[in-house]
Amino acid sequence: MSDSASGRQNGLIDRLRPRLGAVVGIACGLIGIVASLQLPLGTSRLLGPGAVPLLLSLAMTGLSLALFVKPGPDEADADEEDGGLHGAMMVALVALMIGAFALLLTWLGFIVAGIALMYGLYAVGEERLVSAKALLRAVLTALAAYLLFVVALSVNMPAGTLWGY
Amino acid sequence: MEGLLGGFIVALKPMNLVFCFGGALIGTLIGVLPGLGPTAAIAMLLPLTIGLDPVSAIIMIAGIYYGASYGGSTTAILVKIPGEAQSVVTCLDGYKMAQQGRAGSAIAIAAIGSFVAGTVGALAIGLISMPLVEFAIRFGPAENLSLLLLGFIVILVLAKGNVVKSLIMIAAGLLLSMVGQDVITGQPRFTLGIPELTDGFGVVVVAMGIFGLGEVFENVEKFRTRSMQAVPVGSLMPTKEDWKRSAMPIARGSVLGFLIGLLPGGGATLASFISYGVEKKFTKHPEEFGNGAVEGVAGPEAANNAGAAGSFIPLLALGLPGNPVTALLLGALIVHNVTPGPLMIQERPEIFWGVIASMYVGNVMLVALNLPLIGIWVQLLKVPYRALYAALILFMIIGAYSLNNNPVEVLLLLLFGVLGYGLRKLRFDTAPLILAFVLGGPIEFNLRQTMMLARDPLDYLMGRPIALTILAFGLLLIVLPMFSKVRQKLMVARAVNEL
Repeated sequence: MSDSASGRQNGLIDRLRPRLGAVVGIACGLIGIVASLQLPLGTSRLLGPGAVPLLLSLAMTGLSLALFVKPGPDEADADEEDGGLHGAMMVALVALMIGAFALLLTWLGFIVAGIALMYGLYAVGEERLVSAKALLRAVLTALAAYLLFVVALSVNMPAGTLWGY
Repeated sequence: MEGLLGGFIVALKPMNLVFCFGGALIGTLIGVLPGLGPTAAIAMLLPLTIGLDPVSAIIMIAGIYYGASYGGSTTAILVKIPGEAQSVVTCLDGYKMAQQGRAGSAIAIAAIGSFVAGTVGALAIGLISMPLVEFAIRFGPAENLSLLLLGFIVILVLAKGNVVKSLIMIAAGLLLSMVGQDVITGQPRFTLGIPELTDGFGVVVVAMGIFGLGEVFENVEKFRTRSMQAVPVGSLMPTKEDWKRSAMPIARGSVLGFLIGLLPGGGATLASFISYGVEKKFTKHPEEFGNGAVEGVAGPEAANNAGAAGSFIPLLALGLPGNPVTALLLGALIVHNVTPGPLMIQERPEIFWGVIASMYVGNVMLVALNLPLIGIWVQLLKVPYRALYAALILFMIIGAYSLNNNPVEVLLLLLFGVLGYGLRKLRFDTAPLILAFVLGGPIEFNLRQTMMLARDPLDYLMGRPIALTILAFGLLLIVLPMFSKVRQKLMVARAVNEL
């Protein structure tokens, strides 16, 4: 991406950012209102399980609306750097790998899933898809974690249904 | 003082010394890693303490806290990256001192200042706690509710940036705390039929996700843009001049920091900022401030440590966390079936006094063991974050999984990690959210109990002078800054008219 295109994109993000938070807040508030109304509200003296969440959801919607109307200045710290689209993609990739690890952990077991996750994370760190160094580090880290947590501290990590455990 | 002596007997038990040392060491290790401060360190390491007995667990967490604060100051001085807000001020003069080849001196003064302040803090806690607890024993639901509301007001008054955003974060934190069984009727709320959510979100997963993983995500985003260059440490022995110029700032910072720490919402960060301002007024070398003045390191470092000690009083004596770190400690106490508050000192004196004594012991350990280890921390700073972050993530994942031996906890960790990252990107301060999350259960419980007890809420409140005074104090905190703003505007208007 060229510098000017990247600059335009960052400018757009900076303009949208103050109101994006407000939109998310309004959406969450509205969901909260609908969900609270499914619960008994009780009376003013005997508040039901839905009463306090309803009040909070209403407050959240109202406050988010106020933020949308008057978002105020962007509050970035002076020395705060932004990783841009590339940085956001790295984060998304790391998040996806953690999600996949959680879903495969019981099936593959800690050692295999751990090595796979560590390889992925080290590869992201090196920004290379294939790396012998990342593989070596992954195996060593996963084994060290296994020895420390499973063997020494008796943390009960799954051994993997795929291998018959 | 008898209680404090008893506390020392608990804290000096060999097992507790090991946990205190382990906490201080691991805390320093995490605190030294750029971008990770005490809050993230405690959040990440909480699962490690789950299997321990409550006293050892809390002593270890307290050790992690001091260790991480200490580690944060080291990075603030060496690479100008504060572990957390409380070390920001240390960057100003500490890094300048480092650039002048006086890093070792700055680190030593910071450690000694912290040690002195920790000593003052531990003694002052011993003196103040008992009268406060005797007063707080008279508290009922209305007083507890007022106190919790006061906590929120102070958070708001001191919150960074936009107040509306902070209010939204408080509402979000309270709503998140309401997932799970209703505190009065036991009816499931917002569980979406997922059995794992019946008990609500665990404070460990929420804190570890929002503070720990969220922070790691933010650092991952900056892989390409973040570069670090640690400066040489130099001699660890401060010069005679450094000693002379640091003595009074350390003394002032200790007293000032402790008093500020007592305020809900005060704590270490505010203490360090105010101390810097005070030292700038007192110094004979104001021109050196921002250019490597040793007073600018000594005062704030003492103040943030004393502030941290002071902030333990509202937590332990009243059950009121004043900042994210004490909110996490409150969560940790709850995880260990200990309810902080006025009754804790009577029911669990070994925890109350043990933690206070361990602060002192922890500070001694930090000075005695960490100064010689500075070389190792500097080496650690040379390891690129790209290589370190994977181990941090694995550590958090194992911690989350081990809570219930359930991969759903890892998914929840990820969910809160993404939430924490998203909130940072949208420039929301996550501290009010976590405080509200921890206080959500007690606040709803006390509110509903108060409503049940009161036929006419206003009449009921009039008959509760302590609750009324606390609320009036809260109102004053909101109104006073408004008046000062109006006064400022009037003065500006007058000045413009005179022109």
